[in-house]
Amino acid sequence: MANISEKTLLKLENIDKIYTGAQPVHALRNINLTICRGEFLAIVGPSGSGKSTMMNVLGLLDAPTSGKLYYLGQETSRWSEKQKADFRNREIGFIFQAHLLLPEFTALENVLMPAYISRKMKKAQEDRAKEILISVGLGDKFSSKPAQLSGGQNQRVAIGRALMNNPSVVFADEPTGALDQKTSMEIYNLFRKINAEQGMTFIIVTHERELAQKADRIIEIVDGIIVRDEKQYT
Amino acid sequence: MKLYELFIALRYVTSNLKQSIIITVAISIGVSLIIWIPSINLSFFGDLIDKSVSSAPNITITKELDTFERNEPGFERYFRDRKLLLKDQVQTRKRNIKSYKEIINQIDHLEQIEAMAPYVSEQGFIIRGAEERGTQIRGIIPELETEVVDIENDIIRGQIRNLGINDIVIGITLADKLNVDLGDRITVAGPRESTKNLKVVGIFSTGLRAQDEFQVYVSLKSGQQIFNLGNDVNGIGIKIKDIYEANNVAEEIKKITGLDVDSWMEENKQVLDQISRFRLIITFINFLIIFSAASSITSVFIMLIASKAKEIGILKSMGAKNLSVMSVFVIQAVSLSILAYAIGLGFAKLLLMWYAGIIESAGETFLSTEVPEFKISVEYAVLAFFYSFFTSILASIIPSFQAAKLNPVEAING
Repeated sequence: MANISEKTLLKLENIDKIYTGAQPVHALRNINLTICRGEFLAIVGPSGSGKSTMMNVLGLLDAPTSGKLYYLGQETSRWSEKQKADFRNREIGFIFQAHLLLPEFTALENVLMPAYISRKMKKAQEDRAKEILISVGLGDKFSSKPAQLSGGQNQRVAIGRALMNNPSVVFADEPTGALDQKTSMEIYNLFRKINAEQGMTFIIVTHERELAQKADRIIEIVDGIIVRDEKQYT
Repeated sequence: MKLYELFIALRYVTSNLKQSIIITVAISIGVSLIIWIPSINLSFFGDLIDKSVSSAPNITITKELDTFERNEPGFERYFRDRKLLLKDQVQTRKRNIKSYKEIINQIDHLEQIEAMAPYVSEQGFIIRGAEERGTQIRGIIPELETEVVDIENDIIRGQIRNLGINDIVIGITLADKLNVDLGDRITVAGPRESTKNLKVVGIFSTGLRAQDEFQVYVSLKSGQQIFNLGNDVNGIGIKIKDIYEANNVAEEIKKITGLDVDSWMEENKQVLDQISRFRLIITFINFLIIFSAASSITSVFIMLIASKAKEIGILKSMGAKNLSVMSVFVIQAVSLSILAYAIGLGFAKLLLMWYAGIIESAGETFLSTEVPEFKISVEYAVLAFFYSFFTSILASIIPSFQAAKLNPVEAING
């Protein structure tokens, strides 16, 4: 058991990720990292640097080739797919560049989807989903389907969905990549608000320097290696 | 929500109407063909069997062939005078049974036997003025015969139960051809120059051409006189409880009596063989239908799942398990198959009604003078249900399994 404090949300020890194939790609090299509860950090780096791989490994969407990943003090390498799925549902929220909402479902149903998956759907869950939608400024869009909403509104629905099960950590992969500057700023402010109010950890993967500069901590990756890990005081 | 898979599946069904319609049409065409084609044929065959079984005993007891009768001078002269060459038919005449009551007593204990009736049955002639027609004359004890053969139901005019020694009951086709009706008198001639003038007291219609044109009923006594049989009969007709046990019961009776025993199954072997052959062919056709429907379902699902890859990825990132992802698509297929079955069943019924209309307008069929009642074959309706259910599961399970196995990262990144 690694020495992990109660404040630690996740810890990486000597993580390597190699994609096998005709030409193997060493996407992450000997990554050691600790992320605490309530942090607001950005992972930056050029295209192909390994930052998305890092997010996938951290988000239990992809398994490292070697090394250890601890979540809330538990080592995850022996977890079954089912255990990982349950953990993702309970503790992790994802926001992607393309909002990836389910087009057949309304904004409210999309937000409720993690609750559906955890099979704990009750009136209280629906009330929470409505509250979330109101808090992200979509109080009048419960019944709208993604095709009826703008890009920014859809990304807000995706944020609402990520928050639905009250996760410990939210991963956002290029969350403002497809949005204009004004909407990007609104989304950033929303993240900040949730982080401040609910103490939820935010890990934002981005290549946008401007967005990264606003984070409390920046981790820069180049060629699968952490080249910078520094706290910022904004 | 306890079953979110069902919720998502049903929403996919209603939102992706194009795919849903393609799958539903593919299955419902298969279902309607699987039900319709056998229903037509089994209606024909079933009708033929029903009519054959109800118009003749399930089992008949006769005595071995008499090969000496053909030398009888009177018989030969009868045919020679009429310029007829029926020598071969003489050879197939059965020997007489002298003590039929004894035989009935011997087998009366058999549990399957419901009723027994002795009869005489031979070929002869019906003469009406200048008209003379070959016929099969059956001498019966009406109260026993009607227990064995459902002839009373076929009587359309007059009656058969009080058939007297000077009475005759004839088929509708023969009555039309001879232009006779109830109360008219006709002459019946046996092969040994014995004739009787009888009054028509009943006219029947079985729907079977051979019966309605060539079969006539007289009383047993009358038949014995026409064929110079004294008190002998040349057969005993038997009705049994389970008609499909006829071969076994016949075998048992044969062991007990040592006589020739034939079952309706033997006599209708051609029809029954035809049904077996038909079932074999239809099994092959069904296989082709199922294969083609399954292929279209599989290809639609492969396309559907390819178009949903990102959504599958996001569902998995939210914690949806492989089995749940798989269930979403299998439930879609199953719910569509249930809808398609209902449509296919309705369509099969419509096709059957349309076909019945065509046959009815023709008026009669090759073997039958009446149009059979076209009914949905329950057996094939059940088979079609299982077909639609399992085809949809089997056809969707492989693409669904692939969907479940999708790596969320690869799916999301496309």
